[in-house]
Amino acid sequence: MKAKVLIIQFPGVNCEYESLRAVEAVGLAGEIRRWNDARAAVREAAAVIVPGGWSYQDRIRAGVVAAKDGVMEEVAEAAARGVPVIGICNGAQILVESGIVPGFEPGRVEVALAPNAMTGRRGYYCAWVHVRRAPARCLFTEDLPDEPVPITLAHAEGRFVTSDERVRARLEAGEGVALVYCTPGGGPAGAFPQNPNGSTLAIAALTNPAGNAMAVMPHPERAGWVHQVPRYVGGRWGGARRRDATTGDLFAAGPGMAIFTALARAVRS
Amino acid sequence: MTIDARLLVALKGADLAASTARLTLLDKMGYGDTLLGLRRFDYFDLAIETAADGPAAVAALKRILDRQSTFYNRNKHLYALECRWEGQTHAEGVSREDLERRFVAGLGGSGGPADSGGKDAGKKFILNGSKGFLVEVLVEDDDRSARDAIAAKVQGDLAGLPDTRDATVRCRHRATVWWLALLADVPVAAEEMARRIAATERRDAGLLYNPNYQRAEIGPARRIGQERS
Repeated sequence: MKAKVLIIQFPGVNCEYESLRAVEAVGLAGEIRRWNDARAAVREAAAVIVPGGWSYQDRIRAGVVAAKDGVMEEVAEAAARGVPVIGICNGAQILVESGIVPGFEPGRVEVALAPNAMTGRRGYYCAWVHVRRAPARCLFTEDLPDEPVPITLAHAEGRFVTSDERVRARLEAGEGVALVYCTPGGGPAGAFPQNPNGSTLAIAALTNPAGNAMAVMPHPERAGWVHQVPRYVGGRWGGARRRDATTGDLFAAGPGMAIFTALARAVRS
Repeated sequence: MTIDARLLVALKGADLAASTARLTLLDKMGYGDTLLGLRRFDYFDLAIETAADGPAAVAALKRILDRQSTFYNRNKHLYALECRWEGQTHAEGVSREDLERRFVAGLGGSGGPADSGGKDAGKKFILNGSKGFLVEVLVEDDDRSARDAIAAKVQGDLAGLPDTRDATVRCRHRATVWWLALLADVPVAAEEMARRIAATERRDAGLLYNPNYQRAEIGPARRIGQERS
């Protein structure tokens, strides 16, 4: 029997089926379970995905109400045991509000995902951006190439920020930083829109010290196939999209699939 | 002349965010025996500098507030507006005291923790015995951009009215205000409880703000029914 990847469906999430599709595309078995029926399943899961959406309608603060659900206590324990855990977008907000990531002191809420800070606009922002791997060891980023990777994001609260100087110093030293926003050429992200939300140190994803839990604001499951990449994206992925539109290979793996192939390898090992 | 305008806005009907906060605190965070009730408001605190006389400037501000939904919509919001200038005051809408009376009247009844497993009667008794305290928690983002956007909007609108073309506006607060009704023996215990409820320091502690990008002011606890000083 294949080991199962558990996808937790909190009320208000809307990316559970895309996440399941990406999991199945790399040969894993996945299962979507509701938040109030998932505690036991977390204990047996080979990996856990907390997908994107608007859990509890983002009431009070994005991710905070889901973070108080009992199932997140199980997820924190699973992450501590080394089970791969990924939170995507709203899932990232939930992991951060749960103190699972960056997890320098597990359980402590060391960072926030604050409202976007963007030049000339406020609120929700949806765009394709570029990210690249950062120094911290993270099992989810091991298959990403050492080059800028186009990926899509869609959020209103995606700005990683901390008020704790010690946490900031560790992030500046590269600890916990799994992905950063960058220019299409791979250079450091400047202001908006290269850094699309004003995130501290242009952080796009944080990981825990063991590298098995990642909170990522962009959506790898929405960049899992070439047909999802827009034609206007430059570089080899945009080229593949334009080329494959004529050759018919639109269902070849896209730039975000590397996150899931790395997950599959970790689960199988 | 400076006019200080403070506006408190609440939904007339069900406030789902407040309900979610209350249920999270009761059912997931263990405050079932101590949280009597919770109410949420939007809060705006503006300083308006203008050469216009006070009543004219307040009338101009009121025109702006009434004709757009940036601050409130009278069909669905209750609001309390207090303006002060040179020793004079002007109040509009529901008074803050009336908002408080309505809040307290709902405690321990259908407007309070109605789903608290039959404990309402006991809580009402305790409330009448004056062990209930009201604590106000003001939560605001560190980032000034929301405040600056509100100030720019009001200033731009005032500039379009004849009496207030010269007005400059600062937004001192654009915040969420939570009223917490708490059971405690002494005020300091109620304030400490409000602090624990508010600040999200850990997964299992705190709900109302994340200190990594927000700050909070926690007001002094007052016995429920005691007048505001």
